[in-house]
Amino acid sequence: MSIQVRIPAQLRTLTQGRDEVTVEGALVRDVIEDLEKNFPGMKDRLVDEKGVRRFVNVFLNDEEDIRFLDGLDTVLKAGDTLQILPAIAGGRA
Amino acid sequence: MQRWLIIGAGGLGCAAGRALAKAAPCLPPLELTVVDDDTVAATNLHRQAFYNQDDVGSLKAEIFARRFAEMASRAGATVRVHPRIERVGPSNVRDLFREHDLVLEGSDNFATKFLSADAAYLENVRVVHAGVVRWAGYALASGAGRGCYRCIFEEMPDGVVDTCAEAGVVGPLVGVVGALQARLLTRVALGEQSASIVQVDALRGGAIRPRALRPRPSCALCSDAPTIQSIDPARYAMTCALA
Repeated sequence: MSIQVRIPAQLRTLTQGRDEVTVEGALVRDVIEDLEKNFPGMKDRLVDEKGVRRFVNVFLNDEEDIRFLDGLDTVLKAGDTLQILPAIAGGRA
Repeated sequence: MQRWLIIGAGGLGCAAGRALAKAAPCLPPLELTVVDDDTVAATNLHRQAFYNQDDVGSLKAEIFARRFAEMASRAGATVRVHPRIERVGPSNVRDLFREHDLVLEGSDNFATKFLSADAAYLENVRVVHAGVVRWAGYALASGAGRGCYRCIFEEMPDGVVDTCAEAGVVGPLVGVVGALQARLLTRVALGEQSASIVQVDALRGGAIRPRALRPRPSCALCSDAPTIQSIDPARYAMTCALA
């Protein structure tokens, strides 16, 4: 099913500048695979061999951190939105 | 008298500092410490709001202290501000935090953020963090007892990250995030108990998105079974590569 994914500013180089993309997936892990298929390099920024990278957060429908749900196996439904929030420190101009 | 510690007299510290100085008459009686060992550079001026061209080459913490006190005084409050020309590190962080009631963490690196989060919890001091890079930022307030930086950003990034070299930052966004940080700090000072985070995405229509920060049951720092119970310098070493 179609899921909206909000892309943080730091990862928009991978989506040609798009801040929101639509991909397919029934679980969060499926969505990440589809993100990788459409935007190569995205998966490595989000997950490692243990799951979602520990300094990355994924929120479902702006409310729930998937850590408090079923993580990568969180079930999605049509119309759901995922938001990615990575850790930010600082940048120098 | 409340004693507040400001870590970093750069973009975030200046932005938050200006907001707090103006608000000083409305705040509890305050004494501040500002910690930074850096000097003002010309490239700082577009986003580090306390400094001007004449300050280039001067110590940031000293200028910050003077400007904060002047601004608070013109607003009708007397605030003593003590500059400390040093870096916050594993050897001094707990002593620094122990001397203060509340911390505003405006550093630009993950090591200081995680170090501050850990020291704050270990010393039972609330801390308000902030971070900003390119077009995005956030401000995060730790909770009273539960809910901390590590609940949401579990450990220091490794591998490819976007912030360890010259990733760049939009100057006005620093002002927005610093102001949000000052607002969170004020709420904590006035009794807010819960942890919270507010995100800003300047490219997405400037969306400002507040949310509650849920304490994570497995948090290494603030859970019932913490694995972090001291400051180990090795925990804050990192390597990173530009994305």
